[in-house]
Amino acid sequence: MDYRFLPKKGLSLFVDGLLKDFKVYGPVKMDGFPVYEEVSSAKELLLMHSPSHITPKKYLFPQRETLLRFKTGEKPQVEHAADADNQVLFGIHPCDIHAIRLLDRVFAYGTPDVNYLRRREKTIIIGTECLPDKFCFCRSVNTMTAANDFDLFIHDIGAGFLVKIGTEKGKELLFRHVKTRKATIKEISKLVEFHKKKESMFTASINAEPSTLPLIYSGSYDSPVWEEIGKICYGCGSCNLVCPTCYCFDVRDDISLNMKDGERYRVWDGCLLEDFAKVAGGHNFRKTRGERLRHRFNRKFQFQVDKFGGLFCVGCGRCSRACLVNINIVEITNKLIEERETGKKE
Amino acid sequence: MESPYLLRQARIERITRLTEKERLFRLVFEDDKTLGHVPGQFIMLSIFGAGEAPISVSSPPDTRNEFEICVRVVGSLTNVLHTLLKGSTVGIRGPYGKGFPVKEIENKDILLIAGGIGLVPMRSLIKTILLKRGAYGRITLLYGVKSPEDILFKDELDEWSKVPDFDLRITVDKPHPLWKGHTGVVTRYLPELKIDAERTAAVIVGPPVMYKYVIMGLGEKRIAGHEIFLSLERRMKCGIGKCGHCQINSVYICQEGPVFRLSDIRRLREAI
Amino acid sequence: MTKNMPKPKVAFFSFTCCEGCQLQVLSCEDELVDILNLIEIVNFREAIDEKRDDYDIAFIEGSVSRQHEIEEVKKIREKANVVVALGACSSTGGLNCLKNKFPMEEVKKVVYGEKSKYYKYFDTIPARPLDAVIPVDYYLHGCPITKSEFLNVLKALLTGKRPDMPNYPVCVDCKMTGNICVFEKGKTCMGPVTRAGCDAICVTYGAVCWGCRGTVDNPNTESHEETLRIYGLTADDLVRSFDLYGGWNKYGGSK
Repeated sequence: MDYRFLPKKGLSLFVDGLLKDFKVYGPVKMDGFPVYEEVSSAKELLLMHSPSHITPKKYLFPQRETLLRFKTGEKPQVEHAADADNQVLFGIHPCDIHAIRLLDRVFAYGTPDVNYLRRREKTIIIGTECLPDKFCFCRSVNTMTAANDFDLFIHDIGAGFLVKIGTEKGKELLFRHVKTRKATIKEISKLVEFHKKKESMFTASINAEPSTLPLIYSGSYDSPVWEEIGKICYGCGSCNLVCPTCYCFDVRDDISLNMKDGERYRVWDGCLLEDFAKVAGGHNFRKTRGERLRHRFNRKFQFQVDKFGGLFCVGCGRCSRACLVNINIVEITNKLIEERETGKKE
Repeated sequence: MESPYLLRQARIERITRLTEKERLFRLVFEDDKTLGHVPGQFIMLSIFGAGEAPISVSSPPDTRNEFEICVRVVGSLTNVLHTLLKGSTVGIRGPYGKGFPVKEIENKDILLIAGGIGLVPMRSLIKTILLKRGAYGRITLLYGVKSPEDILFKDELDEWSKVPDFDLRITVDKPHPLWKGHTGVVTRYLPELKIDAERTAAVIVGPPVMYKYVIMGLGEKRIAGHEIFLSLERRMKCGIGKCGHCQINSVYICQEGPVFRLSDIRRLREAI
Repeated sequence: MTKNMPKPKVAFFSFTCCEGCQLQVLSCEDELVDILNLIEIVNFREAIDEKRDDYDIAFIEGSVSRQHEIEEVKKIREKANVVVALGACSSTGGLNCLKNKFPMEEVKKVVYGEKSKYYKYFDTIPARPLDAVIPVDYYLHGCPITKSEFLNVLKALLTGKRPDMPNYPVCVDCKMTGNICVFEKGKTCMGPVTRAGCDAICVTYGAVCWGCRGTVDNPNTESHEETLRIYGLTADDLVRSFDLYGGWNKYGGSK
């Protein structure tokens, strides 16, 4: 892999350069918390931040996205909407880089989802490093570092930035806007050191090999855990909506007041919400919160793994962080592991 | 790359009122291509401004650019559909999913069990089978409805009952003053059916509550799990395996179903 | 090509409330021309002089809190094909139901003055939502309602479809908007049990959710009480939080 060294002041030049051709989104502070917003200069960007509440997936799979535009009438007219700008997602953490890799797979699988794929095509991903908080557990699911699936990866090494080249496109952009030089072994080793430090900082971890988790989950269908956490769960869907790999959506129509022009759009949905699996006739296939929690946890550790390969939990801890009743994905998983080991299921 | 959400437009050519709540719509595409479906598949039906919903196809495969759907008023979109007049245009995507194994069940006795509007996709299958009557053995249709007023396709049921070797039994849930036929749930009539389990394929379509009991009943008849086919209903928003609503464990109903072989989903928790 | 119908006739009525929801309707200035192309307004005291009784759709604002209002809303129900409860007072009983905690005699004394010997003659009954008196077809929640939701209900009725009423909590709207959770900021709110549809407007503008839209179908009230307790609310605070817009569910019309 190609590593370059970018002097400290080069970053601002680089971002200015990007801003000429792209919308640039990156982490900024809002009410004291990191969120991804559009930026107009490098000054606004956070170079080291804890995980954002809402994931950067919103730039690839927006909360609300128009799919079709139509005109009603005798002969309705319909056209496909695929509005996508060239964009740079800056400051994407390894967990979210992995999450985007998984979303790429989902939306390309079977019938390709043109809306997502078109946005993705026009997106440049620039990763940055991070340090874990008490909810992060990426180390436990092999997503602590990202080897590829980004265009560039920038790491602050004090005197300047170590820039890992992920794609030709990323390299071309870097070379177009700033002068860099080949990074020295010493500079590269700073990233290795950083990873060592990061690795030692996790307080949350899953007590089993990631590859064993699908099996553990498949054996835990009848665990009492689901009913227990179902009792305290709000069914508010926050865990779904902050998850970087949740991609379920609802499709709705909106029509303007002239009752002629309208659009069909999709919005984020969540399997924890009461009506998610309810059919028009009224039957609800996952009526209890416990069933819905089981479904969500299994989607992360078993169901989607069977379907797409690879765990669908990237260890960002957002769901645990967002849960008001402290349903913690690491604790639940460890509990299931323990139940399996002790064979205890009262 | 074309958007999977784009649709073909179809005109409502005929509307037939079947019951208080159900109407049959004959739809003709604006283009000259067929729908190209197999019995048991579904389409996504659009009314602009009202939305989109999965609807099963009720007619057999057709060489013309037309097909039929039978729709009960149950939700928002179906409500609006029932206010549309002949000549209105609707949007169609699909067909989607896997249908009934029409070819595989050839040369077998066919046991069909339908509950309520389960007869709608079943009709597509029955009509397909009857077009090639000689290729199939005895046909038994057990059809359960709430009350006599709910019986769909009355004329066609009459016709089918006259087909040689076609045993039709309709049962209504509760006794009704105007009903002289069978009463009670469909499972009640399973024991008395003469079935050669070795050469029978069973197909079940009905409301969620029906499956468990019918499957038990068929088990008692010694029909093997791989000879039982059923169509599962779930909420669907995309039809292309993305939106997540129809997911049961690792299975997307819109992709791998709605028709399943019982032996394939027996271990699929939440399926039945 | 739906069945050719004449413009539906629409009426607005107001009972016990601040009339703020009607004001929201009237604030649809930019949309007014389009609206009047679609419907005919035949009764709307706050906006027009005309008063006709031949309406198809009735939007009813306010809770029912006097005996004679019961008769009035019943009459409206008889005439209208569709009745829509407009705003919190009408859809859930709203703030007005706070008075149901007390005996009506006491309420009258406080409101009209004990010294006035006439307080006895004022007609007041425990405040109640519209559906405690007549069947309601659709609900517009909120204190006040949101303009966009009003327009959506109107469009749905004209399309013939059932207006969407979210059955998920305000947390969803907050996440869609990208708000930082109120609890994360150390404050508390009623969002996790409150029916969404407001785009979390209060939180977006720096306030918290008070629960004006009533609860979702199956709120986890116990969990929410526990959460509020953990975040430092006293037993009294708790009661107040749930009572503010939940008076009808809690006290009903019993006193």
